[in-house]
Amino acid sequence: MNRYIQRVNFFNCCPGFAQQREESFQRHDAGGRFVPITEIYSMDNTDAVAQDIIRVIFSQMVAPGESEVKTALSELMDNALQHSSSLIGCIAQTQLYRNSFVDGVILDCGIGIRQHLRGNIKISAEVTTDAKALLKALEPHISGTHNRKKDFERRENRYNNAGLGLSICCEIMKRTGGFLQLISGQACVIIDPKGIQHIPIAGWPGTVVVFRANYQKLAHIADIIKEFDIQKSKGDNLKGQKKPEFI
Amino acid sequence: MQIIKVNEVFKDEKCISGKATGSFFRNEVEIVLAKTPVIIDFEGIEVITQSFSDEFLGPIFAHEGQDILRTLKFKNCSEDVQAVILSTAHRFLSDTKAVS
Repeated sequence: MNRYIQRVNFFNCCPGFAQQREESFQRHDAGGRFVPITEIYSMDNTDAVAQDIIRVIFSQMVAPGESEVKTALSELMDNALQHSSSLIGCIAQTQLYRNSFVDGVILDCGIGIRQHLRGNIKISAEVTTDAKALLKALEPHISGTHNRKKDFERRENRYNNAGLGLSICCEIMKRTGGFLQLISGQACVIIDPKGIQHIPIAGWPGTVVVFRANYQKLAHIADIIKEFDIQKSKGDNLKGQKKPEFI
Repeated sequence: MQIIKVNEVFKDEKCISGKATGSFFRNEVEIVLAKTPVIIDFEGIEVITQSFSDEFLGPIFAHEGQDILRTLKFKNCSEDVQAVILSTAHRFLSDTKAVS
């Protein structure tokens, strides 16, 4: 275990933890197996970071679900950097398994999901616990910036946000037979094709998102988007609205 | 009419993601769109993320309204790309006036 922790650059990333001993192994190319811990500080390069991770992790195979995994990585990194006010940015790690699954984790040390949702004037009264906040954050169109109190010093006002990223990621994981685990504050939930489980935890001040996807399967992102749009359209007056033209 | 090929801007990528990437691409497209109608060609692109699309097209739709659909069109879109663009249009055009 200590070798693995050394190999994924944990001690470089977290120098506060004293390394137990010098590395006693040779560092082989991680391509096709894992991507060491990556620190991301700016939203300016989340697409490039996600693309680099995909390039390394799938360097030895053609994976049908490559775009689904990149979608998840990029959306989760953007979420962490835009909403969490985390002073360390966010941290990502990805691990490939031979049984067709890929695991990813995106972690920040920011304000947590409950605190973020409390800034949303439409739902602030509903998120009375961390567990309620996690479930609320998974609903499409909830964690967006359009219902937020205006604070132009915040990073999140620089970009639009529909509040779909986390919901889409969750659906991708479920539809490929994987799971999404969400940890924030005193709560932890795991969402998989069987349903939602609440797991007791000691707590985490920021937010951790762990995902597992089957990279041999397609999640059919178009279907996910259409389902979310149908939910959103209820009550909308779309009469007279033109649609973009596709040639 | 000018065609902008997405796969020439983002080389070797099948999935285009990221809010900052969307913002960058919008700036590129708006420069051309100010002079001439534009076709965005998504050939070779499997997926664009909702964040990319909202940041690329959302402000254009919100500022220009439905009139922009006369001069901005999309070509070679996969089913996933098309669904994401329609979702962005739905949300950002819903508050603008219909074309008279």
